Amino acid sequence: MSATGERIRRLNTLAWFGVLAGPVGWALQFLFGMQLGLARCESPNRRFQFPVHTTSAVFGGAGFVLGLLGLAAAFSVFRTTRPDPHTQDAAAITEGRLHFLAAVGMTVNPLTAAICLMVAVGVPLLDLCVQS
Amino acid sequence: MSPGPAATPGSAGAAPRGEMPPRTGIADTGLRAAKLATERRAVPNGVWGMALFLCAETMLFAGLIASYFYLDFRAPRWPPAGAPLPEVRGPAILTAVLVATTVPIVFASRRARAGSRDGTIAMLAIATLVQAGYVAYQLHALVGELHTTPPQSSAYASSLIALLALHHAHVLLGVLLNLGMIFWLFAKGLTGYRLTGVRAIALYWYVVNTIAVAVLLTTISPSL
Amino acid sequence: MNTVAAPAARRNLDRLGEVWQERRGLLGWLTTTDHKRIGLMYFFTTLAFFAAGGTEALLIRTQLIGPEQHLLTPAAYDEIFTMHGITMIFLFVIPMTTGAFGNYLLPLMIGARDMAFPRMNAVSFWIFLGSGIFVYIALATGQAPNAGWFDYVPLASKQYDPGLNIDFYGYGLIFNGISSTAAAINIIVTIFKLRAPGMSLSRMPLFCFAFLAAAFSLVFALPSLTLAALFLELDRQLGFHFYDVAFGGDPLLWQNLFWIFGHPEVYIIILPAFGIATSIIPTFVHREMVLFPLVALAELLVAFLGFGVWVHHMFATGLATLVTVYFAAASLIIVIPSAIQIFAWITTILVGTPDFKTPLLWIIGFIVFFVIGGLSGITVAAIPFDQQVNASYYIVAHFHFVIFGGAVFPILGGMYYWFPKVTGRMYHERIGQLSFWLSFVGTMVTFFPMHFVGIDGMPRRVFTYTASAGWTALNLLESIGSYVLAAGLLLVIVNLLVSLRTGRPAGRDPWHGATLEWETTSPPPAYNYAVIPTVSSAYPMWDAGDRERDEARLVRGEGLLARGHETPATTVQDGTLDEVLAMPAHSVWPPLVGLLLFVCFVMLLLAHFVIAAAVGGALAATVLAWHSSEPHSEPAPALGESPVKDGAA
Repeated sequence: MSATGERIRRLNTLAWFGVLAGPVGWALQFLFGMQLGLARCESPNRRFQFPVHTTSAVFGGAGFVLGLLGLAAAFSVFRTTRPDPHTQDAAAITEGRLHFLAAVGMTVNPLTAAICLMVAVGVPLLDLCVQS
Repeated sequence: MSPGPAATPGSAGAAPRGEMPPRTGIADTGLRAAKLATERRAVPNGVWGMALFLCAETMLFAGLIASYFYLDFRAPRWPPAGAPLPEVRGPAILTAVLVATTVPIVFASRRARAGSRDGTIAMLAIATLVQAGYVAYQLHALVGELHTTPPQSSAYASSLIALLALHHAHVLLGVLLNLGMIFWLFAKGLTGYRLTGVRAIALYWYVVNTIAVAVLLTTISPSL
Repeated sequence: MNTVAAPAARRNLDRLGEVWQERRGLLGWLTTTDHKRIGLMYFFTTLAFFAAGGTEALLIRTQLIGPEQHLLTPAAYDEIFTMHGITMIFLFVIPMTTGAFGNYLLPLMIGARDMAFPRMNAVSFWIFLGSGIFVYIALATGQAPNAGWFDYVPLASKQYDPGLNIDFYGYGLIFNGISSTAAAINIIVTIFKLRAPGMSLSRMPLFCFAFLAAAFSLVFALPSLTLAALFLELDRQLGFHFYDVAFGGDPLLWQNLFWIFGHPEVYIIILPAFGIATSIIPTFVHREMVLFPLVALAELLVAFLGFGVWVHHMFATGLATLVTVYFAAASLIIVIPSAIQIFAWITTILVGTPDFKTPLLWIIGFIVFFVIGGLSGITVAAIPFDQQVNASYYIVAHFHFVIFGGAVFPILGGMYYWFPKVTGRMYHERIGQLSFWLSFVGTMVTFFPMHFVGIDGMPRRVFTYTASAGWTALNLLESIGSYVLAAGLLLVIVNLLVSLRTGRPAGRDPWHGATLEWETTSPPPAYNYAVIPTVSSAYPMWDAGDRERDEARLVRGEGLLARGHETPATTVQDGTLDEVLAMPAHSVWPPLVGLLLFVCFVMLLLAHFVIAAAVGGALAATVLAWHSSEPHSEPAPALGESPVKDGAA
């Protein structure tokens, strides 16, 4: 593969990582954290004694970090690509599309990271298994 | 199709291979289908459509499995008193047999891409034989399960039977898809569209066989 | 464009016209696979359901016009408000946006000649029609669903609702869900693969991003509803125990499964409306949308985060706070992408040069209502506040602002905006503006007071109230508002019907719109585009050079794709031309599948499972026969004929 092709492939991977890292981090944190909390608090007979304060802080923290990594990736692509010019040239179209994805990544990661942070900080502060 | 005089080779509108993009509508033999498969770069529409359908079916099973565990978490004892613990060895062997049919399915897909109608039919037929045997045996076992663990006895039995029944229904649907494809390949030959169909059916089996493992692990979880 | 004067262009157009000739008469409509005809069928069918749902709403408001009215018995009232919810959500808003607007406009906006799967498109319509008739048979036979549109157990269980009412609900929603899933898959593959060459992801209209988000949500959310309804019917018809506590089941399982669908559902409702708004605003303010990438992201992110907030419908069910807090956090952050869009729309209007024609008025009304509904939404994202107002009229106010104001207003604006394109005629502007103002005032007067009666304690779904409750004056006001709203909506329909006959000719592009549908004739020919358009930006109609090049290509016969029902397929990310597809024309199989599925569901409803299985077998045979024919293209032209002239290159 040519040097340009390699560059585009690398940027494409980074750009998509930048778009997906934060949302995936949030999704995993949400699924695992919420399920563990549900198992811990909604089951009779104290069957599932998961340390939910710790696990929610860990999952939330991991989601937050993934969001930061995604933000960094998106930012690096944003800086090294140019916006879409009005052209039919394939390489320019690809670069414009990557620039667009980078802008998307730079916006989505802070938002998903914020949710992870809110939960990572909030859940450990709450009393265990108190009905709201 | 040409994008116009301003376009240069390698520009977005120009065909990247030779002068013209491949035409699916004239790929009406195995050979032309194979040529189409090499010239086309993107995933065909029919495969995308199947992939999205499988997203929906995966969500269905995710919901079924989540419901099983939700009721498990909420129960003081799971399975409830009186319900037998699930068997492990038999179901595991059967699931392994089903997962093994992935191999002829992979070969069927490869043969189709190579333009071989007979090779595709042969591989699909092998897979169908085993899968049909699997589903027949499992339906027979399910009828037995209905007596030992009737769904009307508890939420555990309800969720177990529903999970098993829906999974077997999906395998049965796959068998029907195979049979339909074999029928048309036999009657009218391999074409570009049927090549996409074979690839779509192959994708169906990859996902259903993976879900089979998840269903197995869920249904035997109380015995683990 | 002076194509008529160029004989070569004329010949090419005639050739395309021959290839894409639509069958005439009723049979033509029954067997059509043309996305425009299917879109129109969806449009008129959903309007009929809108009228039905609206009548149900007026019955509700008339019942509540004063204390202790007896227009409806309590049992009838339960059926009417349940049918109102089911009709408006499943039989009006979703099929109107995805089925009517989506089907008609998406291929036009992306420069394609049809949806990705034309026959599946037709079958989606017939299944939708069947499901609507199925549910309304319930009302006609006095057994309409009566436990609310979200149908909580144990009220909906066999023990407390032994008749067929809930079975119509359960099977009806599964039936309807098949149509929506098929439509959603079609929308996604069309947007991914059928865009004109050069239309990369970053050059796709925002309308497409919105529909992509809604379609993905449908694919991932509907299975949860299907499962919930399946469990319900297994409990009711076969004695399973998913939801009953005595045998280890849990009524909250229904709530969880329902709302895992139900919350994404409300984003499915609103996202196409966002798409319509983002189409109308740039056109009428003559300016590109501010922050295009962020608006595109916001549309997708709202759909994605929408899968993580469902328990906010269950804050009052006694779950532990450390579980509900996950959902509260997501519910607060999800406001931000919506806010990004609102700020982008308002900024675009402010920095552009707005032309306050009827479509833009409806969108401004939408923004006003969506902001109000969004603000009440933020308040209920706070768990303590939600626990106070849950199941009160405050919630009714909130969702009507976001659904009626937020989805229906853009639909009506879109009807006015694209009326010239679909019919070839302009609507009457003054009456259009009057219809907007009547509807705006009616909506505000109907739904705003509901915030106050809700906080004042009026529960939702009550069939009456006492005079001493102190809610009389505001309920009277709300009911009067509903009649004003009804008048406004009727005026919309009358205006469009009259304009159909007496409106002045619209021409191709009366609005100087930005997106590709304004390039073709009004109404579009069966083949949409004579040549597949060249695309260099997200606002292709404002790229004059590209449009001139298209005209020249028509004369030369380049990009004609006339060797069959042909349309190009491109790569997903960059829109690079990949292959030329041959699409199906008329087909008898879709209506047959719809009919068989209808019979199957009726058999399931009546618990005739063996017959249902037999009909299922007939369905399998029909689907097998469906694949007996494939669309073809003509082979390459004979030696000596110029491929360019023939359009076959």
